[in-house]
Amino acid sequence: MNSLLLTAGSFSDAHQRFWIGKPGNSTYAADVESAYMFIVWVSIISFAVLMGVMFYFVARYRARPGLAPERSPAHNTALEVTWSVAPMIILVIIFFWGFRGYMKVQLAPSDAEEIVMRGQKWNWSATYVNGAQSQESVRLSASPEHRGVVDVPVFVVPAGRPIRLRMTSADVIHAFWIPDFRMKMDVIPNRFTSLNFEAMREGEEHEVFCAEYCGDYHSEMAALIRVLPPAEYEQKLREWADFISKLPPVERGQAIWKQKCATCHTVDGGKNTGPSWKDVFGEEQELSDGARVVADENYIRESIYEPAKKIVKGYQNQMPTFQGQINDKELEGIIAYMKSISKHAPAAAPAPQPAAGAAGAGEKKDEQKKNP
Amino acid sequence: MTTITSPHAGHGDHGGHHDHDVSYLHPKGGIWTTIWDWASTIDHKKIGVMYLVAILFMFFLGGMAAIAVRLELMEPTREVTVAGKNVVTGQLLAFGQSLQKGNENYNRMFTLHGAIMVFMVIVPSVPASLGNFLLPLMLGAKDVAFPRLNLLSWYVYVLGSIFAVAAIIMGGVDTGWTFYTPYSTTTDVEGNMAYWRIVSMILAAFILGFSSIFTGLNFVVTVHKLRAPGMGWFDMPLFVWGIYGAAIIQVLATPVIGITLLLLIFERLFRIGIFDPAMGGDPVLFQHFFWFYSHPVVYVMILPGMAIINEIIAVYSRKRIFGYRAVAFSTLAIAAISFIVWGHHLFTSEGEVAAVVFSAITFLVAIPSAIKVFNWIATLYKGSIRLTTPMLYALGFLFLFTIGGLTGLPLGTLSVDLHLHDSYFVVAHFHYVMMGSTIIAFIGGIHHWWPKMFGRMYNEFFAKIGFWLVFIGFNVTFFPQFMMGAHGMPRRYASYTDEFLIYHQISTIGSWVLLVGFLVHLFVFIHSLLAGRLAPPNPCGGLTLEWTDAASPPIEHNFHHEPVVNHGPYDYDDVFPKQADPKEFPMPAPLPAGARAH
Repeated sequence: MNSLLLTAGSFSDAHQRFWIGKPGNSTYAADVESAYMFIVWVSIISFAVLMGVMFYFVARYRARPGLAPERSPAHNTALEVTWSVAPMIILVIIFFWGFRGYMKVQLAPSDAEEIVMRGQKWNWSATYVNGAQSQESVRLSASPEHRGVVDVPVFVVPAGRPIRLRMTSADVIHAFWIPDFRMKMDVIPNRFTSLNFEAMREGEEHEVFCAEYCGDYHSEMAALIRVLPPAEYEQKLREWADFISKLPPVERGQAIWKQKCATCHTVDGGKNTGPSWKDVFGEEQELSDGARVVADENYIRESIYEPAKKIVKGYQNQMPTFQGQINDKELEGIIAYMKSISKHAPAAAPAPQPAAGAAGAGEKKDEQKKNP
Repeated sequence: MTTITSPHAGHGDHGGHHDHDVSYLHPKGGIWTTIWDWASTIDHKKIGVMYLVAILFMFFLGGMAAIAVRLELMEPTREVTVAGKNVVTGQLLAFGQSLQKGNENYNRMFTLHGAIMVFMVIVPSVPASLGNFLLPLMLGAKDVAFPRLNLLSWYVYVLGSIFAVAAIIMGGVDTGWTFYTPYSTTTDVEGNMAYWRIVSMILAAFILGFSSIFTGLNFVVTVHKLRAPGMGWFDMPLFVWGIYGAAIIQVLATPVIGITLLLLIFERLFRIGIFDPAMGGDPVLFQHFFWFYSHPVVYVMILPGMAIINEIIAVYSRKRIFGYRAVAFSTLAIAAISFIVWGHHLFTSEGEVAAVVFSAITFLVAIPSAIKVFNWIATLYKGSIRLTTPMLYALGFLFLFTIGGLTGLPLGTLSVDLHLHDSYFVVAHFHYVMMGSTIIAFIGGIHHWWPKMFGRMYNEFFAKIGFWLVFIGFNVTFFPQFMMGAHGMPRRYASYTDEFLIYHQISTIGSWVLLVGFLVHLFVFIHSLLAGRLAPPNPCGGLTLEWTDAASPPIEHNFHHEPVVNHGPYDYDDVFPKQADPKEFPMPAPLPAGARAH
């Protein structure tokens, strides 16, 4: 079969593009594609033969006036055994073809670099070996005029180096699918699953989709993977590692919002899964149980770490906890950012500069807590 | 074999007009008397017709949800720059509200579509309607073994459907028909309405399970105990074999989903912590429980469809089904193996050795299905093939089921499934099997037995137009989805990136053709009921008892006298069908002396 595919040359290429797209970019992909194309060929041939015979019989033995059916045997043991055994042989070949590829992806090389991938409604976050997190986002788009409606994170992976994604979920089941790598794995709460791959060609970009239904923004839970040369990859990780901490508080808050909060919270007053952050700081909120509370620093802290405790009226309890994911310094950034976009905030000011000053007090608190 | 020697041949439908000799459709009196007569009937034929009406109504509801889903997908949600301004397009189901509302409505629509089509249409479709009507007639019995249980099963079906409709009226459910945990135990937990509608939907599926068990149990006992004198196991029409195989699965597998759904309701109501990881539960356990039922039930859906195809192909090619025993045994083989393949729905849940075993068994189940297709095609050989509407549907079934079966191969292949799992490839595959096969067979079967059920012929010309629209519309809708899925389009997405645009647009246009096709069939049925030509007892020249020994429509007690069977159901070579027109169904040339037909 392999030699047949090779000799078929460019036709085979175009044929493969039609059924599954251009060759994938992981060492695993070729395995999947060859198995898939083998099955496609088996299917096309069996389908053509079966339908050919069927249409021939229908045309040949179509009822005509006065024409009686002819007698024919009602069974034929030799024929029946043949058509039971022949498919079995092909199925055994297909099974082992799939089995071989599957074991390849299940058994990661021991020197694989681990990236922790966390899924939650409705975004992905990766933590790299040096603790860095992605600081870039894009809109998935076909052209500058047509783009997605949410920012999705950009992840980087090195070309030619084995990677193991250790994945877990904060809430419901998700699935991490990289179609161009031809692989996916479920991402399950309270459990780790892994996805092992090695990207081949550097410079390419690949979409990531959530493949297990997870609610309102399931179709927007995406990401983009960039395959970089190993040196550039290392460089990017160093850059990201201290990116957040170097930003002034308001920009820091804005960066975190974009990374982790933007799917559900707008900053322009628009209603979404969660309340908008516009003008929320310092304002009185009505909760689902009828109680009223002013959105101050403590309220925001609680809402991030224990989101189920106080639900604003008119919203669902959808948010997972960010305990362990957002540290004190980042929390200060978020508070500063929320103040900067609220007209109720005591030291509110739209421009980053004064807002940074306003958040200064918060930073001091932060230090106080650490010092004793 | 021999000739017919029914002890009362000729008595047939010309029988006396005593009270119990009139057609089962004959009204008993005024409108209220008639309604009460139907509502309290224990006649399997009336129950079958009531099921047919209820199922077709739910099919209409589920179909409308599908049209809504396809409409939303005509255009992706995206930001477009028009004359320097950013506009968000493709939010049809948002009705002018937010992106979140649009997605939520979309999620409810596909859940609605899936839940209605699986639990309320495809699972009961053939067995509960045609099966109910035909099983006793084909076996030569007066009724099913437990007529009252049969009526109860219809009311239980209606009760379950009411719970489902209640869930829809309360705002709809967004869990997907699979109710995967922990999503289903944690979504919509605020507010009474939102909280209870999911419970209502799960309860609906739970209740419908009982309807399914009652029907299955009834059929198993009927087949074992009520066959006419002279009808051995291998003299039964293959329709009965298919319904019997499905009934066994219904009885054995449905209790598992019952228990699972009950646990799910407890989890939601009392937070007992079986499935929810936040309380130490195992969310994947639910998937095992769920598919332990839901995979066998795929065969509850397909076996009765295959059962119909056996009858149609045999009668319209005037041939004995090739390899009768192989077809009968492959039915039982499918029923048995179907219980041990559920794990192939979980290849991506955990990387495990179990997946390897499940993959191997999955390939095993492909063999009996393939054998059936070979046998059906071989049956056509040297036949006298009439391309009536039911026969077109049967040939359409062979075409679509072959595609549906072959596209199951990459999904059963471990490495390839890691790519295709939960993509549109899966959506296309199971639509080819469930709709392209079961529903197509169902519609073919309704046409085939329509004259028997309602005593009137339908307009063949328009019915054929309906077939071509459905067949072409179906392929236009679902074939592009194979490519879409393999190229990377995940299922259950309210939106997509532009690379999938063309496939989605073709698919949506196909769904409109399908809709028109079904409306043509609806018109054909209504026209037939109002103005159809009266049907003769055996218009298709069948040899099974519902054609040879019963009137069209049958009398209340089915037969004037208990039929005696002394030929096989497909012995067209040797027996001329009773009640049929000799000019229409010529007999094959007599065999030379000493020769044997088989």
